[in-house]
Amino acid sequence: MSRQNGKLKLMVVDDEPDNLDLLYRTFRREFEVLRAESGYSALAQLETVGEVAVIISDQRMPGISGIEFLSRTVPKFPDTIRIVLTGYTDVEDLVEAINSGKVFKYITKPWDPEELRVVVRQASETYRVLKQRTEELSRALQREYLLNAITTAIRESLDYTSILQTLVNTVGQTFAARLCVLRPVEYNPRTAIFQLSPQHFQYTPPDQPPQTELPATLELLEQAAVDTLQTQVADEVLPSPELSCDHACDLSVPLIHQKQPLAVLSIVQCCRQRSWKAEDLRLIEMVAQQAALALSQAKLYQQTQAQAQQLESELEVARQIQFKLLRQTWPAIEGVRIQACCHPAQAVGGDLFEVFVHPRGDIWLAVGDVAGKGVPAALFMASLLSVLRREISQADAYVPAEVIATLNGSLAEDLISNNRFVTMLLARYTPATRELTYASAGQVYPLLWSRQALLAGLEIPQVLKARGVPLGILPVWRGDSETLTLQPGQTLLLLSDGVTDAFLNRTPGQNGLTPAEVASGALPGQGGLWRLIRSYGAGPLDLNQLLAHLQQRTGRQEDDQTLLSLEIL
Amino acid sequence: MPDETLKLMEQRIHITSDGLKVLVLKPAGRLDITSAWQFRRKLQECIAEYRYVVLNLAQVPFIDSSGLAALVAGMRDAEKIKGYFRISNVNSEAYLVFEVTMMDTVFEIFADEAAALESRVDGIA
Repeated sequence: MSRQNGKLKLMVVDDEPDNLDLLYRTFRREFEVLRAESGYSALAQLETVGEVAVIISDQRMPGISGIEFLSRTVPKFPDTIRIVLTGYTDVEDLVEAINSGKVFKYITKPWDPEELRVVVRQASETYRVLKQRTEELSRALQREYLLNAITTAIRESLDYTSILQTLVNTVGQTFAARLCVLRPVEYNPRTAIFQLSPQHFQYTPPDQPPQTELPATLELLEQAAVDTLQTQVADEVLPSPELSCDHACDLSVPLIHQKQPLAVLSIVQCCRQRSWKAEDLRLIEMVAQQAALALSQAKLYQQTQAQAQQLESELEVARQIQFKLLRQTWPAIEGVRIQACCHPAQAVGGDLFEVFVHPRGDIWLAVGDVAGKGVPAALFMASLLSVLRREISQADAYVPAEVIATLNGSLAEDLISNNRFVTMLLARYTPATRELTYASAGQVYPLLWSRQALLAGLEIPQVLKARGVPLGILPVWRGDSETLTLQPGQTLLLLSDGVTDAFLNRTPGQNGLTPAEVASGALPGQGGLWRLIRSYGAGPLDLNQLLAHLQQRTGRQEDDQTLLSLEIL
Repeated sequence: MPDETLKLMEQRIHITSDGLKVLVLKPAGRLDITSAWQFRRKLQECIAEYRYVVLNLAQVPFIDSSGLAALVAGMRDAEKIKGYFRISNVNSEAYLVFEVTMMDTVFEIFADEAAALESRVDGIA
């Protein structure tokens, strides 16, 4: 703008030195007056000094006329107020010049200095208003642009680091900063203070290298902004050797969210005598508010991501623990063949199985299901397995029902308070006598069939129906137990409800049991399972294959699926 | 989610002959792993508000272990505030879940709504 020390610039152009001198003397007190003796030299001067507020030009000059000269200044300095000094004879040219907006007023020669003063005062006032409006408009545009750029930064990236860099670039460019620094603030729980992060993000103009050394005064200003939660403007304009700048104006504004500082934004301008204007400060603070919002969102997102990742890795740990717990090996036992497999529906599941051969010769088999899925179910499963293993490896004359009662005794309190329960079937097989004793705590009924009957097309296998309440329902377990003698060629299949449920048709009323199934006491879904087993015919029973086929035909798996078989050879 | 999952419950208030205000809930659809959590929340709210709840399962063709867990939670909620949580109209297929788990001896299960509502508060089914 054409203002320096508060005085507007006025240019006077006349080929007569006396007139030029008179004009100079008339206005020098109120204006910074520039003189030119011709249109060409005036144009040359404007090239170097830039815009002036008012130009007064004589019309009749050698070279180009006043109106022509003034017309030529229009494209470059549209806001300048142009006045022409003229005799009556030039009316035609003048009317055209005024009508086309190139000349503001004309003064006839010889002029009355007082009248000219009034006209020029009017002109400079018009210029001032015009400038003010233009500035307001451009500030509004700038604000619009800046807020837009920041909102875009928020939308385009949720990555914390890239948001910080975008913010500092946008602000730096908009305020034509020599240096712009955005420094995160960290809360130190030990000292209970907010401290400046050692890392920062910076903007320097494209023609300047990145700043390796920041101005020494900047950190104090940043810290003050964080401590006071107020914008800080450096009291003095000092030379900054770091920026090779004689007059560095520093400004630091805190980015605050929920009354806590998130970061501090600093702008340094090489500004000669200009200092920060109130409007600039308002704009910067507004930007800081928006930026704080963007930053808090990005931070939140970053935290959520980190938590999700942590959860994921915890889940992986749980999955591995569970895998190891369920990865059991058992010795080959003469006269029997045992298989077991478990397909969890999620990374970790609530199903479990156990095969344990007691040194005395008994074989313990268990299939269980902790209601619910995920990590909590897996944790209950793990503690259940460890108690179960301890119990069955101990006493000799222990029977399944007693073991289940003991398990219930030690786990019921935890299960009840967590609103969970566990179903489980526990069986003990003694190879020497081929005697099987089992008790069930709400587990799906096991199936028992002989190879001969299977090959003969048995419609439904025998269903073992001794039952009991699940663990974690009653303080003292209640349930039945059954003992039977198995025959060579017979297969016992223990299963979880994830297997039978997978066979159910999801359309209501479509799962009616056949009369044979009803008669056997089979559960919905067991008929479907049996038909699948029967389809293998004389081939050996393969539980992995069975579960794979099950998944093929039922699609999405909703619950854990576990199978355990005992074949008497 | 398939549309046979549990529908929003039909519910009404019944005042018994001894002046007890009982909420009767009648859900429709499968009470399984996909609907159990939502059902559990609903049940929790209802029991907290009405203390005495009868759950009519006439329109529930299937209950899995997660559904059963939701019912157990309802039973415990009611016990805690000395109210009751009664079940009625269990259809034969869904009843098998109660039978296998012997939960038919733990829940208060009645043949129909009227029986559930008329049974005395201290009476055990």
